[in-house]
Amino acid sequence: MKKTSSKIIAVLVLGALLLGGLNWYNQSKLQKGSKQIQIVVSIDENGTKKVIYDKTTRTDALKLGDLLDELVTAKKLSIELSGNKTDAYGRFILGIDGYKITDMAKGPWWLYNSTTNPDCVAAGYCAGIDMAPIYDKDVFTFNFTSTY
Amino acid sequence: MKPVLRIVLLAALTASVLAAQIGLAFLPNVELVSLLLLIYAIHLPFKDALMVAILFAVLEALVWGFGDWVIGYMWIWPLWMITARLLAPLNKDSSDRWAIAGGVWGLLFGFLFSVQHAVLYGFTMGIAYWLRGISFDIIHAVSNYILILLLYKPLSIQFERLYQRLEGTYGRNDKNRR
Repeated sequence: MKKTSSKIIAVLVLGALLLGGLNWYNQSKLQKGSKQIQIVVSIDENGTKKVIYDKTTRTDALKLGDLLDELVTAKKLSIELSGNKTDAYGRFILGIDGYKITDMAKGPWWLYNSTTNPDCVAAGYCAGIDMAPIYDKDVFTFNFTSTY
Repeated sequence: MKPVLRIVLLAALTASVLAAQIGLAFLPNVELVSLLLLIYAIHLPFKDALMVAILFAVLEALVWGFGDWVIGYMWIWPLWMITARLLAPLNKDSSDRWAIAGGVWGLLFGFLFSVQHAVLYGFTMGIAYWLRGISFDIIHAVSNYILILLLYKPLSIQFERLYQRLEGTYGRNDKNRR
């Protein structure tokens, strides 16, 4: 009986190890971030657009503002914002990677757009970063410009 | 054995497998079907043993509803009985060996279903089905091993005793045997 118990315990341990290993393997294959978003940052320089950042990232963020926070935390971009998420229009972009708005009346300002985001396309413009839901395969272009 | 008695016996044995299946249905992939069919495959005339497996598949369909899995049951359980029959001279009455065989069978169960899925719905579907079910196959293998290790010998001895008594009482029909 003791021998049988040892066999049963051994098989239970083996089964638990196999299930644990399988679970670990399956988890390791999961890609963190269900959405793939491309962020392009450009500046108007002598009438031409100069791209300073163009990367695709994976995220589970619901709003564009949350994704920008993730990029800042990951030190992929440095972004200066004004206001709070809870403000009526959310936060406002003051500067990205050292390019800051110095004259709010004349610009240049940080504007952003998307030709893929269904909400931006439907409205004809994108809402504030903390109000803009993001979808898989979205491309957002941030441009530092005096014209709009 | 008289035909009427044989029919009654097959019905009772099939009912025993069905009852065992339904009784443990709340535990995913923990079942006594493999053990019971193994015992029947070893002790019954082979044709009768196969009949139990096929009748069991039919009853399962009546209880749970018809689906592609019924086709699977129609060939996978008989395959287990054929395997048991082939392994019988090698395993003899060793609980350990039958437990290992049952464990391997539990592990292969999902794979065999995935072969059927591959044939019916395409190779990719078959692979996906198998991969999604590996954790259940592991549970199936472990539970089969434990149940067969613990219950094979007492059930096998008891079944053999009862079956011999039945043959003694109502007579043997060697034409049905093996």
